[in-house]
Amino acid sequence: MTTFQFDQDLENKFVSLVEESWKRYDDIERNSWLDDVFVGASITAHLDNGMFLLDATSDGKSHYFVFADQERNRNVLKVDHRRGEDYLYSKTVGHLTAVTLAVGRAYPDLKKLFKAARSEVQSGMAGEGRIAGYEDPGVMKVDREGSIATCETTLLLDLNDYVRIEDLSVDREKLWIHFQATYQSLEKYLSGIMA
Amino acid sequence: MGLLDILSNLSQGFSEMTSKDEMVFGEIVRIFDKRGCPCIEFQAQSGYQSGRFLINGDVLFSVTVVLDKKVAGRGIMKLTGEVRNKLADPDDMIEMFKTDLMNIAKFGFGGQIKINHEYNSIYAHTTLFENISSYVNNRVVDTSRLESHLDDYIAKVEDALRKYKKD
Repeated sequence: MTTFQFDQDLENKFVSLVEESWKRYDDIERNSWLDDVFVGASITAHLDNGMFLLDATSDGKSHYFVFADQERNRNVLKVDHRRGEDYLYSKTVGHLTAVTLAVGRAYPDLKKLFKAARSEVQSGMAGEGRIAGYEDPGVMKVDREGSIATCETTLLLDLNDYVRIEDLSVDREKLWIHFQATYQSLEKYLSGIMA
Repeated sequence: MGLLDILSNLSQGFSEMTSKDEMVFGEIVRIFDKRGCPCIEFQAQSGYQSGRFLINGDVLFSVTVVLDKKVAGRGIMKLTGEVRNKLADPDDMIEMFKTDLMNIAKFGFGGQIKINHEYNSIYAHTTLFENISSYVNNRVVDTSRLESHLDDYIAKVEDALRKYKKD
């Protein structure tokens, strides 16, 4: 029977190896959280600006949110998180995430909805998924659901521009200005189509 | 008001009626976010929302809140607190192993809070039957009541987990 001979130096070495491993583990874990931190901050930004969450869905590929305000205008946000948990991708290419934003407005006029329906068909012809599965950025697409016409566009964002990896704090002001800028352009395009 | 307008309002009204759990969940995300506790995991399906929030406090590492809508605005709120001990010393690991065994024997008798060990994390789960719709009135969430209830439940799981936290 072998006797166990304890060597404190070896145990100290093991403890330091585990502690170093924890540091690396923390870094990998923190990187995997970034897209969800962005999602949380986006929900807060919409609520802070007078909207409420009307719908939330995850499909394993994207998180999808519908916000509405008291005037029943709708804003839609879709965050693609396919790459979010890929440590190698985030360390090399960056925390790139396809974010789709949309505005939805009710058009009770039947003629205008036909315009939206026509634009919807044309939008189906827009290029998508040509580079690494990402849609062409900035393309405006019109869709229609009942009497609500929506206009959406996709941006390729680097989440590091909004979320500090060190403490997971978010530049909320910048985030909302970027959302506002996009919503404004979408609304302008939709108004132009429906005029 | 035209027919389409009426239909549009009806459709929106129906969405709002069935979306009270989403409205409440949105406020839960905002409550944690404003406290500097970011959302670190998120999942949602129809009638089900789950968010995990990084606490990084003296005891709690994270808190997970799940809203699971059942019928007539009533549903289940599950709240899970997590303590994380980054064990490195074999002596601590031996002690944790013994504590694990003692807790397995206690399962089923824990009352409202159940403790579960997984490697370096210890979880305290509590499940509450809630009238989720009661937090929403005319598309506005009663944030202070919601926050107060959340605080009560967080305090309970934190108390249950305090003894497991290693310095």
